[in-house]
Amino acid sequence: MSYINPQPGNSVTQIVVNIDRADASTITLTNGVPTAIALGTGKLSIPALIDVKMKNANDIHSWSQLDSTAKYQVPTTATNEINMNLVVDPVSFFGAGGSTGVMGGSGASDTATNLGLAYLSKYKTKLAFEIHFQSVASPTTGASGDAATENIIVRGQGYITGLEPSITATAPVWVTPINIIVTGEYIFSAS
Amino acid sequence: MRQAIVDYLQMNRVSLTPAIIATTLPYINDRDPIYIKNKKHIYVDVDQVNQITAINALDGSGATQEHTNIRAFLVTDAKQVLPNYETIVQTIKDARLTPELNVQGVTQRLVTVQTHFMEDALVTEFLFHFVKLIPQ
Repeated sequence: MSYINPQPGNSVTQIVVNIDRADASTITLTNGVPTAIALGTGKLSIPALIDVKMKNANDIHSWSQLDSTAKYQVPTTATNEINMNLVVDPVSFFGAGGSTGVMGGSGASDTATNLGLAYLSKYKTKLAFEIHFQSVASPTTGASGDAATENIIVRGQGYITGLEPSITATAPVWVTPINIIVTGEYIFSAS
Repeated sequence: MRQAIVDYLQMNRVSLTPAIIATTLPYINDRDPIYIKNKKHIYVDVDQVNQITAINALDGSGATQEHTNIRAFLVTDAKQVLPNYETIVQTIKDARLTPELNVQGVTQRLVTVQTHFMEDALVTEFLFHFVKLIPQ
C-alpha cells in the first residue's frame, strides 16, 4: 500500500494542471476516439491552485424485477468534470499578450498562455488538458515498474466554465473557482 | 510599523501636550518599567509579529496573513487626571490610521486601550493590531 503525496512547492512532485487550445494540441485518434493527447508549446500551466477535484460521475440505469426486492442497476455514460479553485494570477488569468487578449500584445499569437483563463472561457475555446496526478523524481517504467513508481497523467478535452472571482475585505486576494467540463473520455497514462 | 506610529505621534505632538513622546523603548529600569518612573511620557514598544497561512496553494504559492502587535504606554497621575486625557488617548488611538501604513499594505488596523493602577499611577496601555497580506 502506498499513497500519492504531492508536495506543494516541490517542482517535481507538486500537482500540475496544464491546458492548451485543442486545435494547438496533437490528438491521436484510434477508430475516431482520442487515445493520446500531447499539448502544444503554447500551453498554460495553471498557477496557484488551491484544490483540484476530478469527477467521473456515471449515470445509472435502474430497473425493478418481480423476482427481487432490490433494484438492478447498470452504469451508462459518465459526466466528467474537473473542479478547481485558484488564486487569480493576472498574467495567467487575463493573458500574457494575445492579439485579442486584454493584455493586447499586437501580433502575438492566440496561444493559451497569451489568451489566459478568462478569455479561454469567454471565447468558449475547446481545450486539451493534462493533470499530473502523480509525479515522481525517478520514474521506473516498463516491466519493472508499476503505478506506484511512474508518473500518472490524466488527459482529456473540455471547456472552461464556472469562473467566479471573488474577494473580501478581510482576505483581499482574488480567488476563483474554475471548472473544466470534459467532453469525451478521460485518458489515463503512466510513464 | 513602530516607526510609523512614532512618526504619527510626533506630527501630532501638540494634541498630546503635556505628554511627550519618548525616544527609548519601554525597558525595565530598577525592576519597574521605565514608563512608571517617567510619567507623561509615551513609550512605544517594538513590533511583535505572527504569521498565519491565509491561502494554501498546491504549487507552494498562495498568501500569508501577517499580524503585527505593537504596545504603547502612557502613565499619568491617578490622583489628578490630566484635563485633556481623553484627547491624548484619542490622538494615540488615531495613530492606527496613519497613511504611512497604507504604503506598507496594511488591510486591518485595530487598537485596544486598557488601563490599570500601579500605586498612585494610572497606566494606560494601547495595543495596536495590524494585519497585512504578503505572498507566501
